[in-house]
Amino acid sequence: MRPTVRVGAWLLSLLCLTAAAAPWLATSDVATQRPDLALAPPSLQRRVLVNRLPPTYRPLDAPLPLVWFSGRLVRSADAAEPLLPLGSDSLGRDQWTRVLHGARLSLGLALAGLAGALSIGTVLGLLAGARHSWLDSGVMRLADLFIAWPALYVVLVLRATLPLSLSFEALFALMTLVLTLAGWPLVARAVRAVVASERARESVLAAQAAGATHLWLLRRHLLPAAWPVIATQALLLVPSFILAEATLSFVGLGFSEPTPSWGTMLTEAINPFTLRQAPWLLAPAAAIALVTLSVNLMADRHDRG
Amino acid sequence: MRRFLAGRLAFALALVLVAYVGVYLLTGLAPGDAAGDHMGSEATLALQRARLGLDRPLLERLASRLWQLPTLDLGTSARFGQPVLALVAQRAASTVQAGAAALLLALALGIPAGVLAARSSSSVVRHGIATLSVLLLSLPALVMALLLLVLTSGTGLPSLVLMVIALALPAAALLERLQARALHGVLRDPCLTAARARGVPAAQVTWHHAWPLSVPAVLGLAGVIAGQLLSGALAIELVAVRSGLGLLTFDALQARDVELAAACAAAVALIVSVVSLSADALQLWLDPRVSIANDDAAADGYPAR
Repeated sequence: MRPTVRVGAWLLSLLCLTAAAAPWLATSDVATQRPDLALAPPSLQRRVLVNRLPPTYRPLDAPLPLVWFSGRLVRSADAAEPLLPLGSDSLGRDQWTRVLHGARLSLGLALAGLAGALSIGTVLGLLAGARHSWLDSGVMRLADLFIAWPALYVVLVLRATLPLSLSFEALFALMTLVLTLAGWPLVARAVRAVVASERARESVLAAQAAGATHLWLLRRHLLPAAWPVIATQALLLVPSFILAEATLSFVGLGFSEPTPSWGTMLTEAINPFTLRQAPWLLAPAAAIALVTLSVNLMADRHDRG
Repeated sequence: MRRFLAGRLAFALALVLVAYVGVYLLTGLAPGDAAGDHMGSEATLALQRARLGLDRPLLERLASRLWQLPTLDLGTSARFGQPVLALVAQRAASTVQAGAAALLLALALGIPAGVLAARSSSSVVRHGIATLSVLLLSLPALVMALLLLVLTSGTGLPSLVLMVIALALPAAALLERLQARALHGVLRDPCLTAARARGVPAAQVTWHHAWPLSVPAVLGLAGVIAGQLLSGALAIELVAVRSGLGLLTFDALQARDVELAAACAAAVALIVSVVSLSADALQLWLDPRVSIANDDAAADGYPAR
């Protein structure tokens, strides 16, 4: 294993673990708004509001009273002055806590979409590659049509034409469906290419001559050959799914307030004036970049050498 | 060769038509319509519907629209009250302008960087470029635009420049990857060994012998990248406050403006088709063997986004 691949794998597992442990690592509550602490900078000191517009704070000499391992890893003992490791947003909510919970939503959605796209893409790719039939040409023409379109437009049109205001569960299912629909053609095409070339090998012909059934061929010969391609496709799809969720939420078609996802959080960062006051609003962007970086490092092996 | 290009042209035309019809139907079937947003009594609503022609069945509207398509009459936008064709043409021009500038910048940065990454004798240069390109690839254009917004706020940088840089840098990193990989692929070619044996200087071997060999491999995927760049980017347009095709599509979809949304989709499909068609033609002109080997090349891979 190359060192870059190992670093990428470690980084990705660390990020996933962090997301899984979000309730324990969070320093505050997701939804609690503190108007007095709007756009407060990260600080270990107690701070006092000097100016309300734009919010400016002066750190005091007294440190925040920190409590370790009391239900959470660390939090401030004084409920009025929470610990803000990444500052707060314009409603005074803890940015670190929201990034953590946003990670659960964004990564969870990406995984759900991945599961859908990989299963549908693999099944259709296998069936299309296994024998020349109307299914092969039909499925692949459809996939070509999807792929020829820029992916973001596919996601945008699919999402925008579905009902807009929904409960959280319905919305999650719908977004998963949209990502699945946008992702399967890429998987299907890659799987089909491998399966079609694998089918022509002597080992498969020999198995066929020995009387192997169609299902046996699929299960024992064609699917195992397709696994590496499926893994590569999964790696390539993760960042685009996360970005698709972020973009949809960013333009108001995805998850909405007060649910924290990386896309909804970035809507705060669109105002240059606020952003200059509080650059920590870019924390979700950094999180997206970290996930993408870890996946790119892992995919590096397929790129060079 | 002519047959190959004719096939591609037919696919491109089909793509534009499918995009138009598909989005027309999807938007038309979506809950709500262009008249539904206005407050008013049932009577005014019915009047509004009749004025916009929404009282007729969807399929009838689509059929009459398709009948008028050869005269390039795309109807009037319900959202903006302007002819659709003029509106789309104007926004598409703005998008293509920014996209073309970004493409040129990406090519100017990415291709030399890729050649250097593959052929430089200094390991510092090789590893530096590889690291930089992984980092840039990990900053999706949306994140890049927000980052540039922070860095340049207050400097009065025109929105066009911001948009071009945000689009170009990730694309340049992707092109660098492709170029380096393509060059690695041709390095063992016997003609390069022969050139080296004749005593041709290393730089000339790289640029005059190896690089032209690698161009067709780059071009195959560069066409896809160019299509993505030229067809608009919703999130970046939102960040850079510069309206283009992405934002227009978004507006049309949100307002359930069927005619405009369909025309935007067709425009996107048209841009992507023209770009990929010219990339194909260029590739064919450079390397006539492509039309035979094309199916293998298409299955080889696709860019991350």
